Amino acid sequence: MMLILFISHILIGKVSISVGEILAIIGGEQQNSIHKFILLESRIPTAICALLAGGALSVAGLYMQTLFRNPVAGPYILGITSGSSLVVAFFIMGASSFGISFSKISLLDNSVLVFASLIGSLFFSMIILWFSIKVRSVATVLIIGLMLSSGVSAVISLMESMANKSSLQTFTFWSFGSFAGINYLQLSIMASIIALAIVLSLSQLKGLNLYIGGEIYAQSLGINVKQLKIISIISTALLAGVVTSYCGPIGFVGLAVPHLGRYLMKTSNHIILLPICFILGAIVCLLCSMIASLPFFDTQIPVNIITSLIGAPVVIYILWNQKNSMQHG
Amino acid sequence: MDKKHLLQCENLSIGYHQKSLLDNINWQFEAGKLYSIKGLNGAGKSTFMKTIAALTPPLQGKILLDNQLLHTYESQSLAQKLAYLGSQQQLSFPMSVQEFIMTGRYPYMNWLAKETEQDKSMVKQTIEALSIAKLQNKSIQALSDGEFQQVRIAAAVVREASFIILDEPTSFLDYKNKEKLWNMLKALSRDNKCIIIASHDMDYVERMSDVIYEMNPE
Repeated sequence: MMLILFISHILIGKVSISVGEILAIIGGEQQNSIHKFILLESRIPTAICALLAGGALSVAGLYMQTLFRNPVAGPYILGITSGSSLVVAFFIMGASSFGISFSKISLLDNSVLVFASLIGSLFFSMIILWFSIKVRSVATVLIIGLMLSSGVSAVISLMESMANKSSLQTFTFWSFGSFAGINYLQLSIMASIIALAIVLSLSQLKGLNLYIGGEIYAQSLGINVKQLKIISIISTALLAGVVTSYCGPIGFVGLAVPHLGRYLMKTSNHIILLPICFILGAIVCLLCSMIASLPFFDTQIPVNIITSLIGAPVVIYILWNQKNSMQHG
Repeated sequence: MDKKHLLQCENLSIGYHQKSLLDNINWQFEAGKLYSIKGLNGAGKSTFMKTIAALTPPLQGKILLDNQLLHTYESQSLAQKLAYLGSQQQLSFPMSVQEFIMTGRYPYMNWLAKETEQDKSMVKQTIEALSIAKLQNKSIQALSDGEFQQVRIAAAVVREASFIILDEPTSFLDYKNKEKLWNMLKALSRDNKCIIIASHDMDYVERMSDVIYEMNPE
Protein backbone atom coordinates (compact mmCIF):
# COMPACT_ATOMS: atom_id res chain seq x y z
CA MET A 1 0.00 0.00 0.00
CA MET A 2 2.90 2.30 0.81
CA LEU A 3 4.29 1.65 -2.66
CA ILE A 4 0.92 2.31 -4.33
CA LEU A 5 0.59 5.60 -2.47
CA PHE A 6 4.17 6.52 -3.29
CA ILE A 7 3.51 5.96 -6.99
CA SER A 8 0.14 7.78 -6.81
CA HIS A 9 1.86 10.67 -5.06
CA ILE A 10 4.28 10.96 -7.97
CA LEU A 11 1.41 10.77 -10.47
CA ILE A 12 -0.90 13.30 -8.84
CA GLY A 13 -0.22 17.00 -8.92
CA LYS A 14 -1.24 20.33 -10.34
CA VAL A 15 0.61 19.57 -13.56
CA SER A 16 -0.57 16.34 -15.12
CA ILE A 17 2.20 13.94 -16.14
CA SER A 18 1.25 10.61 -17.74
CA VAL A 19 2.54 7.21 -16.56
CA GLY A 20 4.30 6.70 -19.90
CA GLU A 21 6.04 10.04 -19.56
CA ILE A 22 7.11 9.22 -15.99
CA LEU A 23 8.57 5.88 -17.12
CA ALA A 24 10.38 7.67 -19.96
CA ILE A 25 11.83 10.24 -17.57
CA ILE A 26 12.94 7.59 -15.08
CA GLY A 27 14.36 5.49 -17.92
CA GLY A 28 16.39 8.53 -18.98
CA GLU A 29 14.77 8.74 -22.41
CA GLN A 30 13.26 12.17 -22.02
CA GLN A 31 15.62 15.10 -21.57
CA ASN A 32 15.31 18.78 -20.62
CA SER A 33 11.58 18.88 -20.12
CA ILE A 34 9.79 20.87 -17.47
CA HIS A 35 7.99 17.66 -16.55
CA LYS A 36 11.31 15.98 -15.84
CA PHE A 37 12.21 18.81 -13.49
CA ILE A 38 8.84 18.63 -11.69
CA LEU A 39 9.12 14.88 -11.31
CA LEU A 40 12.74 14.55 -10.24
CA GLU A 41 13.19 17.76 -8.28
CA SER A 42 9.75 18.14 -6.73
CA ARG A 43 7.38 15.17 -6.67
CA ILE A 44 9.85 12.35 -5.90
CA PRO A 45 11.73 14.21 -3.13
CA THR A 46 8.42 15.41 -1.64
CA ALA A 47 7.08 11.84 -1.58
CA ILE A 48 10.29 10.51 0.01
CA CYS A 49 10.15 13.32 2.56
CA ALA A 50 6.52 12.53 3.45
CA LEU A 51 7.38 8.86 3.79
CA LEU A 52 10.36 9.50 6.07
CA ALA A 53 8.60 12.17 8.14
CA GLY A 54 5.50 10.05 8.70
CA GLY A 55 7.54 7.03 9.71
CA ALA A 56 9.78 9.01 12.05
CA LEU A 57 6.98 10.92 13.78
CA SER A 58 4.96 7.76 14.34
CA VAL A 59 7.88 5.90 15.90
CA ALA A 60 8.60 8.96 18.08
CA GLY A 61 4.95 8.96 19.19
CA LEU A 62 5.04 5.23 19.93
CA TYR A 63 8.06 5.63 22.22
CA MET A 64 6.60 8.67 23.97
CA GLN A 65 3.26 7.01 24.69
CA THR A 66 5.01 4.07 26.32
CA LEU A 67 7.59 6.18 28.14
CA PHE A 68 5.01 8.58 29.56
CA ARG A 69 2.48 5.77 30.06
CA ASN A 70 -0.11 7.93 28.38
CA PRO A 71 -2.22 7.34 25.28
CA VAL A 72 -2.37 11.03 24.43
CA ALA A 73 1.38 11.61 24.57
CA GLY A 74 3.17 12.57 21.39
CA PRO A 75 6.06 14.74 20.32
CA TYR A 76 3.66 17.58 19.41
CA ILE A 77 1.58 17.48 22.60
CA LEU A 78 4.52 17.13 25.00
CA GLY A 79 6.30 20.16 23.61
CA ILE A 80 9.22 18.32 21.95
CA THR A 81 8.28 19.87 18.62
CA SER A 82 8.10 23.26 20.35
CA GLY A 83 11.80 23.02 21.14
CA SER A 84 12.55 22.80 17.44
CA SER A 85 10.00 25.49 16.57
CA LEU A 86 11.54 27.93 19.03
CA VAL A 87 15.00 27.49 17.56
CA VAL A 88 13.70 27.80 14.00
CA ALA A 89 11.65 30.90 14.94
CA PHE A 90 14.72 32.43 16.51
CA PHE A 91 16.78 31.67 13.43
CA ILE A 92 14.27 33.12 10.97
CA MET A 93 12.75 36.01 12.85
CA GLY A 94 15.46 36.69 15.42
CA ALA A 95 18.06 36.78 12.67
CA SER A 96 16.01 39.30 10.71
CA SER A 97 16.45 41.75 13.58
CA PHE A 98 20.16 41.62 12.79
CA GLY A 99 19.52 42.18 9.10
CA ILE A 100 19.97 38.53 8.03
CA SER A 101 17.19 36.90 6.06
CA PHE A 102 16.50 33.34 4.94
CA SER A 103 14.30 32.08 2.15
CA LYS A 104 12.75 28.65 2.69
CA ILE A 105 15.39 27.00 0.54
CA SER A 106 18.37 28.66 2.18
CA LEU A 107 16.73 27.90 5.48
CA LEU A 108 16.72 24.17 4.80
CA ASP A 109 20.25 24.35 3.43
CA ASN A 110 21.45 25.65 6.71
CA SER A 111 22.83 22.64 8.51
CA VAL A 112 23.56 24.78 11.56
CA LEU A 113 19.82 25.41 11.80
CA VAL A 114 19.01 21.70 11.58
CA PHE A 115 21.59 20.92 14.23
CA ALA A 116 20.34 23.75 16.48
CA SER A 117 16.78 22.57 16.00
CA LEU A 118 17.77 19.04 17.07
CA ILE A 119 19.43 20.49 20.16
CA GLY A 120 16.20 22.43 20.81
CA SER A 121 14.04 19.31 20.69
CA LEU A 122 16.57 17.37 22.77
CA PHE A 123 16.65 20.13 25.37
CA PHE A 124 12.85 20.18 25.67
CA SER A 125 12.75 16.37 25.77
CA MET A 126 15.20 16.41 28.66
CA ILE A 127 13.08 18.99 30.53
CA ILE A 128 9.99 16.80 30.09
CA LEU A 129 11.95 13.69 31.08
CA TRP A 130 13.29 15.43 34.18
CA PHE A 131 9.74 16.41 35.18
CA SER A 132 8.48 12.88 34.50
CA ILE A 133 11.13 11.49 36.88
CA LYS A 134 10.43 14.09 39.60
CA VAL A 135 6.65 14.23 39.20
CA ARG A 136 5.14 10.77 39.11
CA SER A 137 1.70 11.83 37.87
CA VAL A 138 1.45 11.39 34.11
CA ALA A 139 -1.36 13.94 33.93
CA THR A 140 0.88 16.57 35.57
CA VAL A 141 3.70 15.81 33.13
CA LEU A 142 1.28 16.18 30.25
CA ILE A 143 0.07 19.53 31.56
CA ILE A 144 3.69 20.66 32.01
CA GLY A 145 4.29 19.68 28.37
CA LEU A 146 1.26 21.69 27.27
CA MET A 147 2.40 24.66 29.37
CA LEU A 148 5.86 24.49 27.80
CA SER A 149 4.23 24.52 24.36
CA SER A 150 2.07 27.50 25.34
CA GLY A 151 5.09 29.35 26.73
CA VAL A 152 7.01 28.72 23.53
CA SER A 153 4.01 29.82 21.43
CA ALA A 154 3.90 33.07 23.39
CA VAL A 155 7.61 33.71 22.78
CA ILE A 156 7.16 32.88 19.09
CA SER A 157 4.14 35.22 18.85
CA LEU A 158 6.22 37.96 20.42
CA MET A 159 8.94 37.37 17.82
CA GLU A 160 6.27 37.36 15.09
CA SER A 161 4.91 40.71 16.25
CA MET A 162 8.37 42.23 16.00
CA ALA A 163 9.54 40.48 12.83
CA ASN A 164 9.78 42.09 9.42
CA LYS A 165 7.35 41.10 6.67
CA SER A 166 9.55 38.72 4.70
CA SER A 167 10.86 36.76 7.68
CA LEU A 168 7.35 36.56 9.12
CA GLN A 169 6.17 35.11 5.82
CA THR A 170 9.01 32.57 5.75
CA PHE A 171 8.26 31.47 9.31
CA THR A 172 4.48 31.28 8.74
CA PHE A 173 5.06 29.14 5.67
CA TRP A 174 7.39 26.86 7.65
CA SER A 175 4.91 26.57 10.54
CA PHE A 176 2.14 25.36 8.19
CA GLY A 177 4.15 22.21 7.65
CA SER A 178 5.22 20.99 4.25
CA PHE A 179 7.05 18.02 2.76
CA ALA A 180 7.93 20.02 -0.34
CA GLY A 181 11.01 22.05 -1.19
CA ILE A 182 13.55 19.51 0.01
CA ASN A 183 16.53 18.38 -2.07
CA TYR A 184 18.30 15.02 -2.18
CA LEU A 185 21.21 16.10 0.02
CA GLN A 186 18.79 17.26 2.73
CA LEU A 187 16.81 14.04 2.32
CA SER A 188 19.95 11.99 2.86
CA ILE A 189 20.76 13.95 6.05
CA MET A 190 17.19 13.45 7.25
CA ALA A 191 17.26 9.72 6.43
CA SER A 192 20.63 9.28 8.17
CA ILE A 193 19.45 10.94 11.39
CA ILE A 194 16.21 8.89 11.36
CA ALA A 195 18.18 5.67 10.77
CA LEU A 196 20.60 6.57 13.58
CA ALA A 197 17.72 7.26 15.99
CA ILE A 198 15.96 3.99 15.15
CA VAL A 199 19.13 1.89 15.40
CA LEU A 200 19.88 3.57 18.73
CA SER A 201 16.45 2.61 20.05
CA LEU A 202 16.51 -1.05 18.92
CA SER A 203 18.29 -2.17 22.09
CA GLN A 204 15.44 -0.71 24.17
CA LEU A 205 12.44 -2.41 22.50
CA LYS A 206 12.37 -5.27 25.01
CA GLY A 207 12.55 -2.78 27.86
CA LEU A 208 9.71 -0.70 26.38
CA ASN A 209 7.51 -3.82 26.28
CA LEU A 210 8.16 -4.44 29.96
CA TYR A 211 7.70 -0.75 30.79
CA ILE A 212 4.02 -1.15 29.84
CA GLY A 213 3.80 -3.16 33.08
CA GLY A 214 5.33 -0.26 35.03
CA GLU A 215 8.77 0.93 36.09
CA ILE A 216 9.17 -1.55 38.95
CA TYR A 217 8.07 -4.43 36.72
CA ALA A 218 10.66 -3.56 34.06
CA GLN A 219 13.33 -3.11 36.73
CA SER A 220 12.53 -6.44 38.39
CA LEU A 221 12.93 -8.13 35.01
CA GLY A 222 16.47 -6.87 34.70
CA ILE A 223 15.92 -3.65 32.71
CA ASN A 224 18.05 -0.59 33.44
CA VAL A 225 15.15 1.86 33.54
CA LYS A 226 17.30 5.01 33.62
CA GLN A 227 19.13 3.90 30.48
CA LEU A 228 15.82 2.96 28.86
CA LYS A 229 14.40 6.43 29.47
CA ILE A 230 17.49 8.32 28.33
CA ILE A 231 18.05 6.34 25.12
CA SER A 232 14.36 6.36 24.19
CA ILE A 233 14.03 10.09 24.76
CA ILE A 234 17.19 10.87 22.75
CA SER A 235 15.85 8.71 19.93
CA THR A 236 12.46 10.47 20.12
CA ALA A 237 14.08 13.91 20.14
CA LEU A 238 16.21 13.07 17.08
CA LEU A 239 13.19 11.71 15.18
CA ALA A 240 10.83 14.57 16.03
CA GLY A 241 13.56 17.22 15.83
CA VAL A 242 14.84 16.35 12.37
CA VAL A 243 11.32 16.13 10.92
CA THR A 244 10.29 19.44 12.50
CA SER A 245 13.34 21.29 11.25
CA TYR A 246 12.85 20.12 7.65
CA CYS A 247 9.05 19.94 7.42
CA GLY A 248 7.77 22.29 10.11
CA PRO A 249 5.60 21.20 13.05
CA ILE A 250 3.40 18.30 11.86
CA GLY A 251 0.64 17.54 14.35
CA PHE A 252 -1.35 14.40 15.17
CA VAL A 253 0.68 11.87 13.14
CA GLY A 254 2.85 10.94 16.15
CA LEU A 255 -0.23 10.76 18.35
CA ALA A 256 -2.65 8.90 16.09
CA VAL A 257 -0.52 6.36 14.22
CA PRO A 258 0.68 4.32 17.26
CA HIS A 259 -3.01 3.83 18.21
CA LEU A 260 -3.79 2.74 14.69
CA GLY A 261 -0.87 0.28 14.85
CA ARG A 262 -2.00 -1.25 18.16
CA TYR A 263 -5.56 -1.39 16.91
CA LEU A 264 -4.70 -3.12 13.64
CA MET A 265 -2.10 -5.53 15.02
CA LYS A 266 -3.97 -6.24 18.29
CA THR A 267 -0.72 -5.99 20.23
CA SER A 268 1.37 -3.51 22.22
CA ASN A 269 4.62 -5.32 21.41
CA HIS A 270 7.17 -2.70 20.27
CA ILE A 271 9.14 -5.22 18.24
CA ILE A 272 6.09 -5.62 15.99
CA LEU A 273 4.87 -2.03 16.33
CA LEU A 274 8.14 -0.31 15.36
CA PRO A 275 8.07 -1.39 11.68
CA ILE A 276 4.27 -1.28 11.53
CA CYS A 277 4.06 2.28 12.89
CA PHE A 278 6.82 3.40 10.53
CA ILE A 279 4.94 2.02 7.53
CA LEU A 280 1.53 3.29 8.72
CA GLY A 281 3.00 6.73 9.45
CA ALA A 282 4.55 6.81 5.98
CA ILE A 283 1.19 5.86 4.45
CA VAL A 284 -0.68 8.53 6.44
CA CYS A 285 1.77 11.29 5.52
CA LEU A 286 1.91 10.26 1.84
CA LEU A 287 -1.88 10.41 1.83
CA CYS A 288 -1.94 13.82 3.54
CA SER A 289 0.73 15.16 1.21
CA MET A 290 -1.22 13.87 -1.78
CA ILE A 291 -4.43 15.54 -0.59
CA ALA A 292 -2.45 18.76 -0.06
CA SER A 293 -1.32 18.76 -3.68
CA LEU A 294 -4.60 17.70 -5.33
CA PRO A 295 -5.08 19.58 -8.60
CA PHE A 296 -8.49 21.08 -7.74
CA PHE A 297 -7.12 23.22 -4.90
CA ASP A 298 -5.87 26.56 -6.15
CA THR A 299 -2.95 26.61 -3.76
CA GLN A 300 -1.01 23.97 -1.81
CA ILE A 301 -2.98 23.22 1.39
CA PRO A 302 -0.80 23.24 4.54
CA VAL A 303 -0.09 19.63 5.51
CA ASN A 304 -0.66 20.40 9.19
CA ILE A 305 -4.33 21.16 8.49
CA ILE A 306 -4.83 17.81 6.76
CA THR A 307 -2.96 15.74 9.39
CA SER A 308 -5.09 17.38 12.10
CA LEU A 309 -8.34 16.84 10.22
CA ILE A 310 -7.55 13.14 9.72
CA GLY A 311 -5.71 12.54 13.00
CA ALA A 312 -8.14 14.05 15.51
CA PRO A 313 -11.17 11.86 14.63
CA VAL A 314 -8.96 8.73 14.47
CA VAL A 315 -7.68 9.37 18.02
CA ILE A 316 -11.19 10.07 19.33
CA TYR A 317 -12.54 6.91 17.68
CA ILE A 318 -9.79 4.66 19.04
CA LEU A 319 -9.90 6.11 22.57
CA TRP A 320 -13.69 5.78 22.55
CA ASN A 321 -13.34 2.12 21.62
CA GLN A 322 -10.81 1.54 24.38
CA LYS A 323 -12.67 3.33 27.14
CA ASN A 324 -14.59 0.34 28.43
CA SER A 325 -11.68 -2.05 28.38
CA MET A 326 -9.08 -0.08 30.33
CA GLN A 327 -9.94 -1.18 33.88
CA HIS A 328 -6.38 -2.21 34.69
CA GLY A 329 -4.84 0.47 32.53
CA MET B 1 20.79 -34.21 47.19
CA ASP B 2 20.34 -30.86 45.42
CA LYS B 3 21.73 -27.83 47.15
CA LYS B 4 18.91 -25.74 48.61
CA HIS B 5 18.64 -22.22 47.23
CA LEU B 6 19.14 -19.73 50.02
CA LEU B 7 18.55 -16.01 50.56
CA GLN B 8 20.23 -14.59 53.67
CA CYS B 9 20.10 -11.19 55.35
CA GLU B 10 23.06 -10.37 57.55
CA ASN B 11 22.87 -7.40 59.93
CA LEU B 12 20.61 -5.74 57.37
CA SER B 13 19.29 -2.20 57.87
CA ILE B 14 16.50 -1.03 55.62
CA GLY B 15 15.02 2.41 54.95
CA TYR B 16 14.85 5.38 52.63
CA HIS B 17 17.08 8.45 52.28
CA GLN B 18 19.36 7.27 55.11
CA LYS B 19 16.35 7.10 57.45
CA SER B 20 16.34 3.67 58.96
CA LEU B 21 13.07 1.75 59.32
CA LEU B 22 14.49 -1.44 60.79
CA ASP B 23 18.00 -2.50 61.78
CA ASN B 24 19.88 -5.69 62.40
CA ILE B 25 17.71 -8.04 60.36
CA ASN B 26 19.21 -11.55 60.30
CA TRP B 27 16.58 -13.62 58.53
CA GLN B 28 17.03 -16.33 56.01
CA PHE B 29 14.80 -17.83 53.39
CA GLU B 30 15.20 -21.20 51.75
CA ALA B 31 13.59 -22.92 48.79
CA GLY B 32 10.63 -25.18 49.49
CA LYS B 33 9.10 -23.01 52.20
CA LEU B 34 6.49 -20.29 52.46
CA TYR B 35 7.53 -17.29 54.54
CA SER B 36 5.24 -14.54 55.75
CA ILE B 37 6.33 -11.12 56.91
CA LYS B 38 3.86 -9.47 59.20
CA GLY B 39 3.84 -6.09 60.84
CA LEU B 40 1.85 -2.91 61.22
CA ASN B 41 1.41 -0.47 58.36
CA GLY B 42 4.51 1.67 58.00
CA ALA B 43 6.70 -0.91 59.74
CA GLY B 44 8.76 -1.23 56.57
CA LYS B 45 7.38 -4.44 55.06
CA SER B 46 7.30 -3.04 51.51
CA THR B 47 10.77 -1.50 51.88
CA PHE B 48 12.09 -4.84 53.11
CA MET B 49 10.55 -6.68 50.17
CA LYS B 50 12.02 -4.20 47.70
CA THR B 51 15.40 -4.39 49.40
CA ILE B 52 15.65 -8.18 49.15
CA ALA B 53 14.47 -7.93 45.53
CA ALA B 54 17.41 -5.55 44.81
CA LEU B 55 15.02 -2.74 43.86
CA THR B 56 16.06 -0.54 46.82
CA PRO B 57 19.61 -0.48 48.23
CA PRO B 58 20.09 -1.59 51.85
CA LEU B 59 21.29 1.05 54.32
CA GLN B 60 23.69 -1.37 55.94
CA GLY B 61 24.52 -5.05 56.10
CA LYS B 62 24.53 -7.75 53.46
CA ILE B 63 22.07 -9.78 51.41
CA LEU B 64 23.38 -13.06 50.02
CA LEU B 65 21.66 -15.08 47.32
CA ASP B 66 23.11 -18.57 47.06
CA ASN B 67 26.19 -17.28 48.90
CA GLN B 68 26.77 -14.43 46.43
CA LEU B 69 26.16 -10.80 47.32
CA LEU B 70 22.82 -9.78 45.80
CA HIS B 71 24.08 -6.53 44.25
CA THR B 72 26.91 -8.30 42.42
CA TYR B 73 24.48 -10.28 40.25
CA GLU B 74 24.10 -9.22 36.64
CA SER B 75 20.54 -7.86 36.28
CA GLN B 76 19.32 -10.51 33.79
CA SER B 77 20.65 -13.46 35.80
CA LEU B 78 19.15 -12.01 38.98
CA ALA B 79 15.80 -11.74 37.19
CA GLN B 80 16.06 -15.48 36.44
CA LYS B 81 16.51 -16.29 40.13
CA LEU B 82 14.21 -13.87 41.84
CA ALA B 83 10.76 -12.46 40.96
CA TYR B 84 9.13 -9.52 42.70
CA LEU B 85 5.43 -8.66 42.56
CA GLY B 86 4.50 -5.25 43.93
CA SER B 87 1.17 -4.71 45.65
CA GLN B 88 -0.36 -3.07 42.60
CA GLN B 89 0.32 -3.05 38.90
CA GLN B 90 -1.25 -1.16 36.05
CA LEU B 91 -0.63 -1.75 32.39
CA SER B 92 -0.47 1.43 30.36
CA PHE B 93 -1.52 -0.30 27.11
CA PRO B 94 -3.56 -3.42 26.32
CA MET B 95 -1.79 -6.79 26.40
CA SER B 96 -3.14 -10.32 26.14
CA VAL B 97 -2.73 -12.74 29.05
CA GLN B 98 -0.37 -14.91 27.01
CA GLU B 99 1.72 -11.90 25.97
CA PHE B 100 1.96 -10.76 29.58
CA ILE B 101 2.99 -14.19 30.89
CA MET B 102 5.58 -14.37 28.10
CA THR B 103 7.23 -11.18 29.45
CA GLY B 104 8.33 -13.38 32.36
CA ARG B 105 10.61 -15.20 29.87
CA TYR B 106 12.32 -11.97 28.74
CA PRO B 107 15.41 -12.50 30.93
CA TYR B 108 16.10 -15.62 28.83
CA MET B 109 15.50 -14.01 25.44
CA ASN B 110 17.79 -12.11 23.05
CA TRP B 111 17.55 -8.35 22.46
CA LEU B 112 14.66 -8.76 20.01
CA ALA B 113 12.74 -10.95 22.49
CA LYS B 114 12.73 -13.93 20.13
CA GLU B 115 10.62 -16.70 21.67
CA THR B 116 12.14 -20.19 21.62
CA GLU B 117 10.25 -23.50 21.78
CA GLN B 118 11.36 -23.74 25.41
CA ASP B 119 9.80 -20.34 26.17
CA LYS B 120 6.52 -21.37 24.56
CA SER B 121 6.36 -24.74 26.32
CA MET B 122 7.23 -23.12 29.67
CA VAL B 123 4.33 -20.69 29.29
CA LYS B 124 1.99 -23.51 28.23
CA GLN B 125 3.01 -25.76 31.13
CA THR B 126 2.61 -22.96 33.67
CA ILE B 127 -0.83 -22.01 32.36
CA GLU B 128 -1.89 -25.66 32.75
CA ALA B 129 -0.22 -26.14 36.13
CA LEU B 130 -1.90 -23.05 37.58
CA SER B 131 -5.25 -23.96 35.98
CA ILE B 132 -5.66 -20.60 34.24
CA ALA B 133 -6.17 -21.94 30.70
CA LYS B 134 -9.58 -20.26 30.48
CA LEU B 135 -7.90 -16.85 30.85
CA GLN B 136 -5.13 -17.28 28.31
CA ASN B 137 -6.80 -15.66 25.33
CA LYS B 138 -8.31 -12.77 27.25
CA SER B 139 -6.93 -9.27 27.45
CA ILE B 140 -5.35 -8.28 30.78
CA GLN B 141 -7.75 -5.32 30.85
CA ALA B 142 -10.72 -7.73 30.87
CA LEU B 143 -9.58 -9.67 33.97
CA SER B 144 -10.88 -9.30 37.51
CA ASP B 145 -8.38 -8.34 40.23
CA GLY B 146 -8.18 -11.96 41.39
CA GLU B 147 -7.57 -13.28 37.88
CA PHE B 148 -4.92 -10.63 37.25
CA GLN B 149 -3.04 -11.67 40.41
CA GLN B 150 -3.04 -15.30 39.21
CA VAL B 151 -1.68 -14.20 35.83
CA ARG B 152 1.03 -12.12 37.55
CA ILE B 153 2.05 -15.18 39.55
CA ALA B 154 2.16 -17.19 36.31
CA ALA B 155 4.52 -14.57 34.82
CA ALA B 156 6.75 -15.00 37.90
CA VAL B 157 6.65 -18.80 37.65
CA VAL B 158 7.70 -18.89 33.97
CA ARG B 159 10.84 -17.05 35.03
CA GLU B 160 11.86 -20.28 36.77
CA ALA B 161 12.82 -18.07 39.70
CA SER B 162 13.54 -19.91 42.93
CA PHE B 163 12.37 -16.93 44.96
CA ILE B 164 8.99 -15.25 44.49
CA ILE B 165 8.54 -12.12 46.60
CA LEU B 166 4.97 -10.80 46.89
CA ASP B 167 3.99 -7.56 48.57
CA GLU B 168 0.36 -7.72 49.78
CA PRO B 169 -0.83 -9.91 46.91
CA THR B 170 -4.33 -10.40 48.32
CA SER B 171 -5.20 -6.91 49.53
CA PHE B 172 -7.86 -6.25 46.86
CA LEU B 173 -9.30 -9.76 46.74
CA ASP B 174 -12.48 -11.25 48.14
CA TYR B 175 -12.50 -14.35 50.35
CA LYS B 176 -12.81 -16.86 47.51
CA ASN B 177 -9.95 -15.37 45.50
CA LYS B 178 -7.79 -15.03 48.60
CA GLU B 179 -8.23 -18.74 49.32
CA LYS B 180 -7.35 -19.63 45.72
CA LEU B 181 -4.23 -17.44 45.67
CA TRP B 182 -2.89 -18.68 49.03
CA ASN B 183 -3.42 -22.29 47.90
CA MET B 184 -1.61 -21.53 44.65
CA LEU B 185 1.33 -20.04 46.53
CA LYS B 186 1.42 -22.92 49.03
CA ALA B 187 1.52 -25.41 46.14
CA LEU B 188 4.40 -23.48 44.57
CA SER B 189 6.37 -23.62 47.84
CA ARG B 190 5.90 -27.40 47.86
CA ASP B 191 7.29 -27.38 44.33
CA ASN B 192 10.63 -26.20 45.77
CA LYS B 193 10.02 -22.47 45.35
CA CYS B 194 10.70 -20.03 48.14
CA ILE B 195 7.61 -17.86 48.58
CA ILE B 196 8.00 -14.68 50.62
CA ILE B 197 4.77 -12.77 51.31
CA ALA B 198 4.09 -9.54 53.13
CA SER B 199 0.49 -9.77 54.24
CA HIS B 200 -2.20 -8.57 56.61
CA ASP B 201 -4.31 -11.75 56.20
CA MET B 202 -3.56 -13.03 59.69
CA ASP B 203 -5.62 -16.20 59.43
CA TYR B 204 -3.87 -17.29 56.20
CA VAL B 205 -0.47 -16.20 57.50
CA GLU B 206 -0.89 -18.43 60.57
CA ARG B 207 -2.36 -21.34 58.60
CA MET B 208 -0.21 -21.42 55.48
CA SER B 209 3.26 -20.19 56.50
CA ASP B 210 6.19 -22.43 57.29
CA VAL B 211 7.98 -19.51 58.92
CA ILE B 212 6.62 -16.13 60.07
CA TYR B 213 8.88 -13.13 60.58
CA GLU B 214 7.55 -10.12 62.40
CA MET B 215 8.61 -6.53 61.90
CA ASN B 216 8.73 -4.61 65.14
CA PRO B 217 10.39 -1.26 64.72
CA GLU B 218 11.87 0.19 67.89
